[in-house]
This record gives sequence, structure tokens and C-alpha cells, in this order.
Amino acid sequence: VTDRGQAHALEAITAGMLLLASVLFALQVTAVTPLTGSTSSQHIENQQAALGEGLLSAEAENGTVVPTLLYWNESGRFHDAPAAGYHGGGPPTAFGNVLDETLRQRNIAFDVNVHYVRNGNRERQAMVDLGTPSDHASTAVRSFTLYDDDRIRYENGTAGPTLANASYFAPDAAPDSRVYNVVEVEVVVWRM
Amino acid sequence: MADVNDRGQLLLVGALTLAVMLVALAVLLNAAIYTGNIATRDAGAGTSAAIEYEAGATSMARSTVAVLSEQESGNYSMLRDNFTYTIDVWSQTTRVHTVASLADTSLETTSTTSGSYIAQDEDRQFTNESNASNWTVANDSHVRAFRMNVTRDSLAAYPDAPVDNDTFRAEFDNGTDTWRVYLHQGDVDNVSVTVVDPSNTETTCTVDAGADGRVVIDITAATLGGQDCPAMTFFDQLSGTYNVSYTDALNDTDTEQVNGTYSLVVDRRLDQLDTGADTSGGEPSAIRALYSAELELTYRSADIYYQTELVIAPGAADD
Repeated sequence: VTDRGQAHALEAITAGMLLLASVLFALQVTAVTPLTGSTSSQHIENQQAALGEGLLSAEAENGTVVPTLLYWNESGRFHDAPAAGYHGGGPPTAFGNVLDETLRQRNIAFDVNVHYVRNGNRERQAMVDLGTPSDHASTAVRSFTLYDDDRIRYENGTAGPTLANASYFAPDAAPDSRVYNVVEVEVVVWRM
Repeated sequence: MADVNDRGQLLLVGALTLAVMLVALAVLLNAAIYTGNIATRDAGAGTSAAIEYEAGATSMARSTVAVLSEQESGNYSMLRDNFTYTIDVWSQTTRVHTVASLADTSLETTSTTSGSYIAQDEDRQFTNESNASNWTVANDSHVRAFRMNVTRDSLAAYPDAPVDNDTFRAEFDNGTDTWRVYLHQGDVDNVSVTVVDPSNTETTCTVDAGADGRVVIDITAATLGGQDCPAMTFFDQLSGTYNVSYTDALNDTDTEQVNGTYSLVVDRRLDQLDTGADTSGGEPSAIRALYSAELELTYRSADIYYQTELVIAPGAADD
């Protein structure tokens, strides 16, 4: 009788282990691979980050970013934009057109933020605000140096007063050097 | 009966072993896939941030050297301090941004080379301040950013034999070798540059002067009207320092053989410079300038430690 009891106990333990093992098996055979399709796919995030970085460096090379940064209305906003930045798409400049063509027309939403330095602190000026980024947004950043003799642009694109003599969102980091400020342009992209 | 019982247990054990093996296989397979997933999440150590920082620093320093060189400065220490201060301001301002992406950066000036900026800003014949036809532009120097902007009509019209006819030339003489750069009209609307090397071999480049009848000759970058002119790539064969001089700016009958503007930067201090340019504001003028600067750049993040020396000499022949 004692022997049979031990055998039953062993059998029960084995059965339990079998059950657990089958649960484990079932869980593990349905793996989430990098190619599993979903809007939160890591591959799409990588791809969008690369897209943002490529766009920024190509436009930096073309020299369209700085004129867009200088497309500033001295009343305290970008030309034709609310204080919180453009919210219908990119700014009406060459850089804005590229943003629209590369991102918005492919159903990729984006925000553009400009970080500048005031008294050693990083502050933010929104340039484009198409909403709050999702949890799976990617960002790309690039720095641009503004000089005292750079000129802000009027609404029609012609050159206005120099930064040293204009009212601009970023302050002059050092009035007695030719460097006005260093700004970091941040492009945040996510799937709509 | 005993035999049958034994067989049953063996089957059970065999089945169990198989099941365990299958589970282990699934776990292994999944671990491999998961590793692949993790490995592709990060696109690498992200060296592009360091390279971008270097590119930003280089372009800022180049434009600063160029801009400061073209401004009148009271003395060399003011010029040096102005440059160093600009670099420091940029370094500190940029650092606020890089620290936000968890990288520590710095850009420091290690040394600067004083020099002189010699320029003729208004269209004029290429004589010195007292209208002499042959004169020394700079003695015992290296030169960078040497550009001329001349009108075609002012040049002597000897498409084929500029050397025999003594047309205007810029000469580079290091004591043993002399290279001569002749400027003259080419056929129809063209402008030509003929370079004569120390063994008297002549090489010519020709370019169309364009609608405004002007052409830019960048001697240190070896371009004529924006096109490569291999004849002018002789600076690497010119060892040591050399004298830069203009010869025959006027011809035998005192008629100009060239008219336009030019500018160059030499690595000789203004107080030691032997030049026919005016050091007190006339045309052509010579003022204090920075010839070059050396900077030390550091970029340090969790994955990358990058340090490099930058030599900034915009428009130098080996630039």
C-alpha cells in the first residue's frame, strides 16, 4: 500500500510538470519576431529615425534649415503661425516643403522643436506642432550655429535686420562674440 | 502480466522524454529569435553624433577664422583673444545641447598662427600703393585663400604667347624654384591662365568669362572660373616659404594688363612683412589676420570617446 502511494504522488507530479511544460511550449512557439507587423514595430521606429536623420542632414547640407529658423516675425512667432508653432504642416519655406513631401504626404506625423540656450539653460520653441507624439515616436536632432550677422527673414523671404538688432526667440549668448546662439532642431516623427 | 506492465512504463518514459525535448527545442529557438530582435534594436554606437559635432565645430571655426581675418584688428593679442573667446562661447553653448543627449563635449584653441591679410577690395590695376608695376606682395610666407576676380577686357590679348610678350603674372619664388602664373585673354570670350614651372614648361587652362566678362581665379584651390585647373596645383612642390610678387601689372607703355580685385592671407606677421600694399588703409591694403588655428575637440558619451586635432586654415592649398 505504501509503495502504491509513492507511485501515485510521482505520477501526479509528472502530470503537473507535463501540464506546465505544455503551457511553456504554447507560449514559446508563438514568438514575436522583429518582422511581426504592428505600428509599434522596432523596424518601423528605426526606419523612421533614419528618415528623420537623413532629412535633417540633407537639408542642413542644402542650407534650408537656417533660413527657416530665421523665418521669424518679430511680434513673437514664426510668420503666419500661432505662438505654439505651425499646426497644419511644415512652415511655408523650402525646409517646410521637404518635411511635408517626405513625411506628411506618407501619413507620418511630425513635430519640429527648436531648443536654444538662455543663461546656460535649454529652452524650447515649437516650430511645428501636429499633436502629441505616440509612445513609438522617433526623434532626430541636429545643431545649427546662428551668428550675430545672420538676418531674420520677412514673410516674403527677403532679408530683414540682423539677429543682433532684431527681436528673436533666442537671446544673444555672448554679445561681444560673433556667435549668436547654438540651436538644436529636433524632428519627432510617428505613424498617424 | 509482468511483461506488459514493464512495456507501459517504458512508453510513458519515452513519451515524456520526447515532450521535454520538444519544449527545450522551442525554448532554444525562441531565445535565438529574441537575441536577433534585441540585436537589431540598437543601430550601433551612434558615431554620427560625434562626426556631426566635429563638422559643426569645423564649419564654425573656418568661418570665424575667415571673418576675423578680414577685419581690422588693433594688435595680434586682441585678434587671438577674439578668436579664442568665440570658440569658447560656441563650445559652452553647444555643450548645453550635447549634455542633454548624455554626451560631454569640448572644443579648445591650442594654438593660432598670426598672419596678414592683403587685399584690393575695389576694381583697380594690380600695381602697389605707389603704382609700381613690379612689386613684392609678401615675402617668405605661405599663402592661403589667394583669389583674384578680374575683368577679361583688362587682360593682355596674347592667347598663344603670353610669356614672350611679358603679360601680367604672379610669381612664387622659394629661392631655388620659381613658378609663374600668367593671366591673359584666350580666344573669343575666354580667359586663360598659363603656368610656367621651374623647368620652363608651360601649361594653360582656359575658361569662358561669362556674361559679366569677369572671371574668378582661385590660385590656392587651383580653380579657374569654378573649374579645376590642374596647372595651378604646384603648391605641394613648392617647399619652404616663398615670395609672392606681381610682375608687369603695366606694360611697356604703362597701360594696365589686369584690372580687378584680389585677396590673400599669408603666415607672416604684419610687422615683419615686406609688402607693397598699404598698411594704413590705402589700396591695396595689408592688415593683421589669423593664418591658421589648431583646435582640440573631445566628444565623450557612454559608448564613444573621440578626440581629434583640427587644423583650420580655410583656403590653404592642401585644404
